[in-house]
Amino acid sequence: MSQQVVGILITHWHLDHIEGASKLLKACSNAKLYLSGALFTREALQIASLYKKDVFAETDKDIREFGEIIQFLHETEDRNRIVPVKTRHTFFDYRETIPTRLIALSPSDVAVTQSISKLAQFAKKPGDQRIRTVVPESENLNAVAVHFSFGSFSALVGSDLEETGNVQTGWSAIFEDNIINELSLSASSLFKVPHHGSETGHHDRIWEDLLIEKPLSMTTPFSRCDLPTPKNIERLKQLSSNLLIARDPRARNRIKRDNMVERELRSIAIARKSINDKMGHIRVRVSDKGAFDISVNQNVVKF
Amino acid sequence: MSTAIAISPMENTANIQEYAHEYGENKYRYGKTGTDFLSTKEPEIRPCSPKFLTPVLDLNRPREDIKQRWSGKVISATDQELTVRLEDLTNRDNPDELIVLSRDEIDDKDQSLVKPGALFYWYIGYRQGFKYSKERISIIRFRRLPSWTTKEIQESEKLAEEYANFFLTD
Repeated sequence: MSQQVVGILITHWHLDHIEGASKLLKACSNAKLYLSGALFTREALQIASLYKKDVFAETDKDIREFGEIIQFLHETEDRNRIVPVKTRHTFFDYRETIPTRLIALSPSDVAVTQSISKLAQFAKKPGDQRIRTVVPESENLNAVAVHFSFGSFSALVGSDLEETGNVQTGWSAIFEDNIINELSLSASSLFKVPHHGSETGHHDRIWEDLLIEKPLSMTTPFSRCDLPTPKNIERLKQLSSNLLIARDPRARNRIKRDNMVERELRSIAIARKSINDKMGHIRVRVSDKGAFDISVNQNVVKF
Repeated sequence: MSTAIAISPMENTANIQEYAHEYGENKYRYGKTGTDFLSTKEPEIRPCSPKFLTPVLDLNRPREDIKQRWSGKVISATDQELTVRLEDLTNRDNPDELIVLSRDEIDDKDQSLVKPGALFYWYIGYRQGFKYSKERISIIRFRRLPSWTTKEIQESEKLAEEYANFFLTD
């Protein structure tokens, strides 16, 4: 099965999107690795090299995952396996039998440039304090959103791409660039809602121009920020035929702990929240006859 | 209590072989033939009580009974509060938690270390001793990791150059 994988797309390097990618890359020897062009630069390689040597790097799994990928490709001398991506990149476009196409809608050139400039902040100098580094939230603007079409079926995968009102980045840049008409993108019936169903991942024109009326929508929750919020769930339900969330955002894991510790924690903590890391899985298969097959595991919730 | 045989000031130490029989701190020194230079008698081998290996409990020092250990990372910090992510080291099945704390909970010596990315340990438990009443303890201790060294930076820059030459040049 692993030999049948032809491509691995890392939409951006936040942990929930990159974790495990190095293992996947090693297992799928025929797969090319696609990632934002901003991560295929000298500044990004500098970060990868720093973390290769850092013996104290117990956290920062996202950056270390990226470092593992670079190190693996360097050691196997396989530079052609890595492909930088930005808006309008065509992963494949088959027209012989059933027309099949995968196209990147983002990141925009401006988003890539902004991302590269922020990478310079990761640079270290001798004497700098060794603290854990955080991939900035603004990396969401560097995320790769894709449009996939297979015959008459198409899907829009929104990654974590956000909207800031700036026409040069985010979703606005896609509409400003007129990609939809120029590339004849069909309205999709399947939608991976961007940025965990948040307001910042929403743009009215996604639903007007890129999707059919009431598509099947799916998203993943993000416990740390309580996404999607109940208000967003309601909004998405109104816009969709069905909404699947990979894990119940309302669920809280039960914590087993000494009573004395719980009392102490309640007296000290101003606020507290447990982070639910149960893994949900949604799989969508489309046959060449246009039939859908959607399977989920027990953690997925349907609204 | 030493039972070592005293050496006379006239003795030539170059002729003495030292046989160390360690029973605690005691050592025995013998002459080359097993006797000291000034004696014709066989040396006394005085039995010694074996080394006391069991750690001695200092009843004056309080004992700690740690009920909970976390490894933590600062997510964000203001002048009044900090938000941290805790990984449960006592029960690994428990999920990570996000906690907001007052900065007053942090030791004065560690205040300058409180910034996003900083790592710490947090212990909660009891302390009790012979002369101490039982008391609850909550200790947040920030890790003082060594700074980046010149050698590390230079090595990473050299590796980055290798990566750039490999990936970015035709």
